[in-house]
Amino acid sequence: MKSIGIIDDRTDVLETTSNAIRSVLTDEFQDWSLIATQPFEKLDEYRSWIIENDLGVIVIDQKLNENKVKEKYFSPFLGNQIINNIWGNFKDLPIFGLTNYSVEAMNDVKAITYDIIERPKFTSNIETYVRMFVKSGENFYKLNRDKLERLSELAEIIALGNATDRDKTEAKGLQLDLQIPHFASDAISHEEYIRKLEKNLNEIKDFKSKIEDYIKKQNQ
Amino acid sequence: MSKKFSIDARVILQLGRDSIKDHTTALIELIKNSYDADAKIVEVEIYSRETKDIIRVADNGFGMTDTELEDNWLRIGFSEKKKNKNSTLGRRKTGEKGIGRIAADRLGSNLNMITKSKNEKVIGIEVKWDEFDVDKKVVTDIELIELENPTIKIPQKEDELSETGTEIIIKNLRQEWTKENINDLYRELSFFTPLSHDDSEFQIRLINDIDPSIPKEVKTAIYEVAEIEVTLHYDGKEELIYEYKNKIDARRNKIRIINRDQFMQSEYAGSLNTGPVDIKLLFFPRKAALLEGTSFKLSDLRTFLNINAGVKIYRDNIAVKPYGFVNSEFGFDWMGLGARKAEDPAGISRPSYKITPNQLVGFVNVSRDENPKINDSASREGLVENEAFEDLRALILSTIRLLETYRYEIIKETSKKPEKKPAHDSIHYITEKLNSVVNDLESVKQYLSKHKDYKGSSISNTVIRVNEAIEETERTIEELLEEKRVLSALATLGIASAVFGHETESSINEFKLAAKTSRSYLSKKNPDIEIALIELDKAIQHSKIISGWGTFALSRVEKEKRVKRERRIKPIINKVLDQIKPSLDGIGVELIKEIENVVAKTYPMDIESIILNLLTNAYSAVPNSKRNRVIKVTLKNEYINDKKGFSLTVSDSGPGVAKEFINSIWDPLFTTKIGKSDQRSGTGLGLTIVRSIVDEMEGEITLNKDEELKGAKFNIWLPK
Repeated sequence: MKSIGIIDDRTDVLETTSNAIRSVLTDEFQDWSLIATQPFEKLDEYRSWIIENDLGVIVIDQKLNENKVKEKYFSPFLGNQIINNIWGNFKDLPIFGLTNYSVEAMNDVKAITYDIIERPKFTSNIETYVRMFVKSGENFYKLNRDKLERLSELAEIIALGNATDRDKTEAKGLQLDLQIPHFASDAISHEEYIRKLEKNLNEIKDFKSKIEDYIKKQNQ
Repeated sequence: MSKKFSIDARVILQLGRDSIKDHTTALIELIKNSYDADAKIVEVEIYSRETKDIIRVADNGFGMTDTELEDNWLRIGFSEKKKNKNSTLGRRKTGEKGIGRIAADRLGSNLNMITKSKNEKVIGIEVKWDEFDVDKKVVTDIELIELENPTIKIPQKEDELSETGTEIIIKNLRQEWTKENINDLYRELSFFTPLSHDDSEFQIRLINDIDPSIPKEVKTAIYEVAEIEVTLHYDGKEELIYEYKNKIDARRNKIRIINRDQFMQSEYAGSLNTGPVDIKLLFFPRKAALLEGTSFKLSDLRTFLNINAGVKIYRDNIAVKPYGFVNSEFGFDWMGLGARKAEDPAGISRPSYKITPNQLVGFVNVSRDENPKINDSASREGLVENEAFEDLRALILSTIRLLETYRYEIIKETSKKPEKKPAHDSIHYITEKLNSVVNDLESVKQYLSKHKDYKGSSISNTVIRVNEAIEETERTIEELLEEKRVLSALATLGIASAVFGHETESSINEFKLAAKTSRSYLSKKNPDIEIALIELDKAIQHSKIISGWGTFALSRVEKEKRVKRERRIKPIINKVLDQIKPSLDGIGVELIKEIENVVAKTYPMDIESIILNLLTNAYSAVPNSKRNRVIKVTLKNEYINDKKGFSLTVSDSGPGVAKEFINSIWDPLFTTKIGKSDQRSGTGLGLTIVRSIVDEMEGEITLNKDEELKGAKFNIWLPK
């Protein structure tokens, strides 16, 4: 399922914004869901969160250190710091900022988001903004799907042992882009794979016959 | 047969010409090579008039062996600096492209390079650049001439003999050097290494026949006459060490360690993106007294500041343009000191005093390796203005503020002006004088009525009129005091609105969103009543906060609060705390109250102004520290010197107030809050209002560190 991720430290605001977005999703985009979270304590956790939930777009509040998360910690990072980190891993992922400040006051943040949205404007035009989130997310998924399909073709070529160096380089680039563990650089030829497999099977057969001999001896 | 590229010889010239802006830059490239070769002295000679037509650059660096000459120097694009970033002496090497040597073509058509390394003989080659500038000539076809029995003149320092070095002689100069060129070169060379480092480690001697007024040594001794020198070292972690050097009075020199959060007072403590930074600021007021006992004239100082004023950034000892360069339109005042001064042009006698950019020479040294987030911009001029850069700017601005506070304090102490009397003292004084006049006039009036003087009636009338005038004056003073009280309350409301108003604005937004969301769930085909009710409840909660703020604002200047009579202080304090509570909750602040019953004859408006300003301060301070956010308010009866009274204390878990600023925080317009770009900083009025009220009520105010919460602790004692 396609998903929008939303991050805010204030639980009541997070819930209301989520309900507002969900209401539009239910009416217009049934194949989309919404995943809400308070800020994480460590930046690495955002990467896992995005991969686990296969997020296609993120909406994030800018001033994230107003409320303690789970009564334990204030977010050590502001929205723009988190965006910078996410884009280090997912450079095409659309991210929208939400703020109670005026956009003029957030000019430096504006430069690093798709758009920064003042909350009053968001409230007045929820449907429009949710459509914009979904559209950006669709583009992101499409881009990723195309890349995945190409990667799948390349994986097949590599598995058959027909890959050229150029194929392997392309596969590596795509894996980097898609955050998938590499295999092209470690890939071995088809023949070698079969040879190793046979060797392993023979070892197992040897081991099996040794066990059978041992059991026979014991029974005698 | 395999194919190979061949390189046209002209490409080499083109490469040098495209990479090097002008002949001054070309010469500096050669001097950079000397610096990288660990030279301690470089002689630069330029003769482009009279009989000679020659440039000579000679250093006492480590020189080159025959193999190094062949493998390194003659391989265009090769840079040993790519492999070893630091020289043997620990200098961070300056060039990495490996094309500095072809810069020589820009200077003249013939080059002789003679070099000597340790335990090797002197070697030399001659390059005729014009031979490269021929059609269809491949670079490998050009034979360089090896000099037979070359001799080398290595520059020597007085105290140590150098046997190694490199000498480059360029003949047939391509361009005539003007006085302006020589001045530009001198200026650029004077920036070459920061003075925060021992400049005896790298000396440049410049000799020329174009402008004899240029001194031989590229020197900067005038730096020593700075009135104040502030050096600050930030370790990239929690603490900063700073040192003041005062040229006028060495007894005022001092060195201290200061906590970063107290120093910066910026929001989101712990998020500085810079690594270690060294800052050196030199302050030069343009006055002759500064130069007493030196050989400098005021015109020297002016010329020096006209050329050198500005705060420069050095990366590994090399200046980064355009920051702090006077001839750069946008780079010179990159800290915005001019605009800051224009906003508040207060003089040195005022606590909000600010220096001007042309009085300051500053060096900021950062290393590439320890500050990886400070990056070159793509245009190769300047740095990427990212968060690390903004943090660096805020750090420098805080150091400038430190310098300003120090200078203000010194001037305040040395000018020995009588302390300004509190307003209430002046009023008492005037009232006493007026009463004495009234008594004298009354005596005259009685005397005249006893003696039935015919002139008495007119004098009696005059006495009555004077009495009326005195009463009128007293009423006016009372009215002015009341007006001041209301203005203080309104100013307090303004400050509180700026700080707490954001929470109300958020509540308005949340109210609208919750109400709209509730309606959307109710108007669906299958209404979701549960979600709708949850959102409605939230809308009601937000509406309470909004109306609470309205009531709070409206009740600030009620007439009843301007009447002095016996009052119960506890409910006054509790009411303000209740009204502020949603804002405190909004940023997760725990409020601790220890409030006794206190009755005192006072104005409620004054008590509200005091508590509200102290709370505003604490509210702004708590997010600046990593500690749990806590504000504690206590109220108790207390005697001071047998005088009945009560004390009101507000403590917080913020970073506290640095000793450096304790005397200044009460002064109008002084603020410890330094904003990063686009962030608000303080008004500098809140504590002035508190001080003024406490003085007027003949109370006492103290500021300490709260031992329990670790932040600031403001204690106000007022008589009953």
